[in-house]
Amino acid sequence: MTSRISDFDIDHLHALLKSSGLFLKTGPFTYRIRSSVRSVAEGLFLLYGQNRFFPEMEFVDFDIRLDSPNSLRRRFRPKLDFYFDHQTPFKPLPISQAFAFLEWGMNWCVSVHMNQYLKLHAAVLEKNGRALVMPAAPGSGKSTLCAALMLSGWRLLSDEHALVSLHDSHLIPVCRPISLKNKSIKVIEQFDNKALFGPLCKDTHKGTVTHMRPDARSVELDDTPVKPGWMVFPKYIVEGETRLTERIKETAFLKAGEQSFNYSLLGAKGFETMSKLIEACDCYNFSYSNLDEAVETFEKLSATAV
Amino acid sequence: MSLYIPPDFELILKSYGNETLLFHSASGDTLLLGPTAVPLVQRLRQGPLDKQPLFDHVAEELNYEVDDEFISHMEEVLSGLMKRDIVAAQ
Repeated sequence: MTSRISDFDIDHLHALLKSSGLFLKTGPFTYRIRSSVRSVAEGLFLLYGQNRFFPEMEFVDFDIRLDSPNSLRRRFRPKLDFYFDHQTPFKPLPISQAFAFLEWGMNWCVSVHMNQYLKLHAAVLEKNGRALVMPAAPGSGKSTLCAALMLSGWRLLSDEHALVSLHDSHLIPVCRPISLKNKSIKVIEQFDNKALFGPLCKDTHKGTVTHMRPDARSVELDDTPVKPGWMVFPKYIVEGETRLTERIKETAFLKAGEQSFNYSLLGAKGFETMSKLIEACDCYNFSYSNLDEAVETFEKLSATAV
Repeated sequence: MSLYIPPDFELILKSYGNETLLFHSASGDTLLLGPTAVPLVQRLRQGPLDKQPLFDHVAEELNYEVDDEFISHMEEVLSGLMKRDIVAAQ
């Protein structure tokens, strides 16, 4: 029988994180995570409890650790460093932001490495066998919309990274918690009271941040790629109308390229992969303020899947 | 002045039926080409050509009249392409 991370208790997980580390597989990537911080264990237990537990792994893509740099730091105004392969790419952050720091660090690992995929800063969900790709800049309402769609039955592939296969332009899942901040947290709590959140981190550089647990089905299907179906550029507009309008593919191509971590780096292969992705997608602009109407709009859109 | 596309780098044109995208491997950039730049680039991909016959070709393709306004516009388009090392002169 497959073991899940939630099969253990938090104390056991905490002990593991303090010693040999937790092997966490999300999509095609494996992390080894180590930390002595209790809230990291609590966050991982709550938000990644449905993920498989691996007692050991042959390969680790990202070896990360979140800890105080020295014993003095642990006592006075405790801060944490994020270690990646023994390097510290970020400035230390307060221990109260530990879990958010871990999530940001995990995102960074994917964003700056793994160039065997075309990577877009985008939410990706699936319905009726087709992927909805939503590239967007921060503050566009992407994650809020993504959370609402997942809570409405869409399968989550990622809230942060669209990984596009260079071979067939299919979307590779890398299913992890959805990052929500500030007013979006309340909005999603009110949208569905069954939404499960991890540690609340206040006073971060993004404001108040938390993460929402993906549903069990999305985690279960985390190694199943999806054919592209729709590319939608979302925009939250205060009290704005719900509006889905077609967008020509050529400008969608350029807009998606702006939201890519490695499009230029991949050269002609990046162009070819983006061309296939856009070819396979119906492209739209989408503006909204009402989440119920937004979900209804996407339900209608998903019915166009062939 | 004979104009040509430097052979060292790859140029890829792509259209979904509305406008035309150009990928330039030297810079890694992707540009949206205007309606007059498309036939200009397409023609130069077939081989070098002097400026005047090149402009005449574009005008013929698009059914435009070759007047001062057109020439001035084409000079601008050409200058933009040359600044980006997509087109060169010899």
